Amino acid sequence: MMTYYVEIEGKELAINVAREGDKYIIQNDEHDTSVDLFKVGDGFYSLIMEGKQYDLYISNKDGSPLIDTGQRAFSARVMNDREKAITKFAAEAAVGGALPDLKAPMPGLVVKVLVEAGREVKKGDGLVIVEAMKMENELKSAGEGTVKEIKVNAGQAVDKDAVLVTFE
Amino acid sequence: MFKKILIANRGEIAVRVIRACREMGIKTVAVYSEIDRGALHVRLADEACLLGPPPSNESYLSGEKIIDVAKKRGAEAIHPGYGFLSENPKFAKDVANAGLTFIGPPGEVIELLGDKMAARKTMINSGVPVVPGSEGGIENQTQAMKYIGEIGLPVLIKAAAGGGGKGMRIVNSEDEVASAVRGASSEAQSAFGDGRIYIEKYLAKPRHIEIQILCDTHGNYYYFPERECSIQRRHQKVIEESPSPIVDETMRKKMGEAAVAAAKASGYVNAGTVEFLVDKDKNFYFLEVNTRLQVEHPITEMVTGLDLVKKQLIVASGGKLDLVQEEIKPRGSSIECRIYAEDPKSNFMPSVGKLELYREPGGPGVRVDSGVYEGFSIPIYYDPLISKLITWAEDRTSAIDRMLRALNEYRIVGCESTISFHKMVLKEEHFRKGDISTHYIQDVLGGATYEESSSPEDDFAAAVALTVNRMEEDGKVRAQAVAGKQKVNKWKMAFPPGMNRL
Repeated sequence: MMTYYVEIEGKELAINVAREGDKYIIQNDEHDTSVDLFKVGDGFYSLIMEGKQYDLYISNKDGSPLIDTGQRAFSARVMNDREKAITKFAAEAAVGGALPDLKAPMPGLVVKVLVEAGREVKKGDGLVIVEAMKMENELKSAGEGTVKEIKVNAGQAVDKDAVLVTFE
Repeated sequence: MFKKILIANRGEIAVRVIRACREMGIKTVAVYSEIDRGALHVRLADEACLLGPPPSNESYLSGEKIIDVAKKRGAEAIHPGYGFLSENPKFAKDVANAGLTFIGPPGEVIELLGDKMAARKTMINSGVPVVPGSEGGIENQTQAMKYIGEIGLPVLIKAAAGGGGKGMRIVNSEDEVASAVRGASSEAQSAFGDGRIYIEKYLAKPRHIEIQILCDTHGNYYYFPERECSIQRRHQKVIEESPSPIVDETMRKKMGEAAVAAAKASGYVNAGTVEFLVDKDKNFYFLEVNTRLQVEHPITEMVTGLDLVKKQLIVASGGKLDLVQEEIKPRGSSIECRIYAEDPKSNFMPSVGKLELYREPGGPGVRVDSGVYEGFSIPIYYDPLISKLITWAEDRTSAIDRMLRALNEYRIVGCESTISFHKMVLKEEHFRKGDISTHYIQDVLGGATYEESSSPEDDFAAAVALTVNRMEEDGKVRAQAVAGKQKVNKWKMAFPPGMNRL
């Protein structure tokens, strides 16, 4: 039996799994069951668990899996024992820490930069205005911090995930 | 009938027109911008011509280039779709002057109806009910106050050239009048180069109900069953239905006849839509005429069984419409949900990307008008509409339930979409009862932070699938490691990379 840790939308589930013929044994605090995961096509799966059928799509792009249940799509993180231990260690090592870089959520055009290097920002402060599909979108600070560097200028076109602002 | 036409548009509407042409044996010329080289409308057309760089004003809005392409490719007519050049009177005239046919009303009619103030005057003169207000324009606060004395507050100050809420001010008290007059006029001047404004009574929580009209060049005018488009966000329709839950046969006839009167008064030709606002006592008032094929035309097709695009082509080629007004009746009920590449969780922020997974629903009574395919990247330059999902069923409740079923089947991965938003509306009690107005989204949904529904069961199923998937991957890695264990370097030396994957 192996243990995996699945993080979905802030929740973490520890799941024990073992292969048994063409089925899988699944165990955790609430479940102890045999499931049938049938691969329908590339990324497509049909899961039958406790009599219920789930039509699922899993994408493994960029190492961070995405799963679509039809009701909604989750970004998820799956860790094995070793990765879980490393993550735990890293979390304990990091003290305080800077805000993550502000990245462009979509490709677009930088309309205006609202802050400058050295500025202290609070959660929710506007940082950069990016235009996409003729709509202006104000990107806001995710938390408290100090602006280290502005990586873009007004008028500049940016790709998705381009770093716009870094923090100290 | 035409042998070949050019479609001056992109996305789902270009695809819609191409499909009608295919069925009628008409060849199609698609036009596209650099970023749309692989777009569905290009792939489905018989011929395709590049217009220019992605921005609209260098491609889909470039009337001269489009007319040039039409002439070079031997197209006899141009279908403008909706948006872009569809309601541009100069383009319609230029097309006609180039010896081609514009599939829509004449440029002069577009011009008259595009001027809200002139249109209002035309409707008043032909007895079409309009929202109480000024007959012509107003120039200052004193004139505005005179009308406010007659019709009472609140009022709307609107731009003659208006559209999309620009140059529009709501006035709730007398001390707001002066600044509203100034503000609306200067905003209209800068947005449309035309500062003329007029005043109208502001209707509280109206419904938006519109009538499709179709007129040929032989003096035949027809109206179609109404479409209710009250579910709007930022003046944009998001869900439309036909028939309206509040319109009975008598009201349908009254509104239809008013719409035909409006069409006759303006010398209308081809397909158009007369929009009305309806108050709580079911009085209806002329709002404006959209001089093009509407986004939501499919619901009318579903309840009447008539193909509006084919009728447009018949009219434009000089043909006669052989319809009987009394026979154009709604059968069953149809709903359309506009599926946008927007994130309902982040205030409907555009969410573009490559459609990694794209699977459309099907089955009885389901129609999907889309302009995308799996693997297509939705460009940032244009309207983020992915598709229009339309259902038909024998009655309104069944059409809603069928829509929910279809939304559940619809799978899109690669960008966020408004599918989950639609599900929320279609399950909501007021909507299901037909108790709606143009204020529905802010009043009933209350702009509340939107949460997607997901059961713990679904979450667990997702986690299980991910776990099994990951275990299998880890197993493959381990198998490779075991196969190459100990003398890994020798393996690597003996076989070029990739060879040890047996």
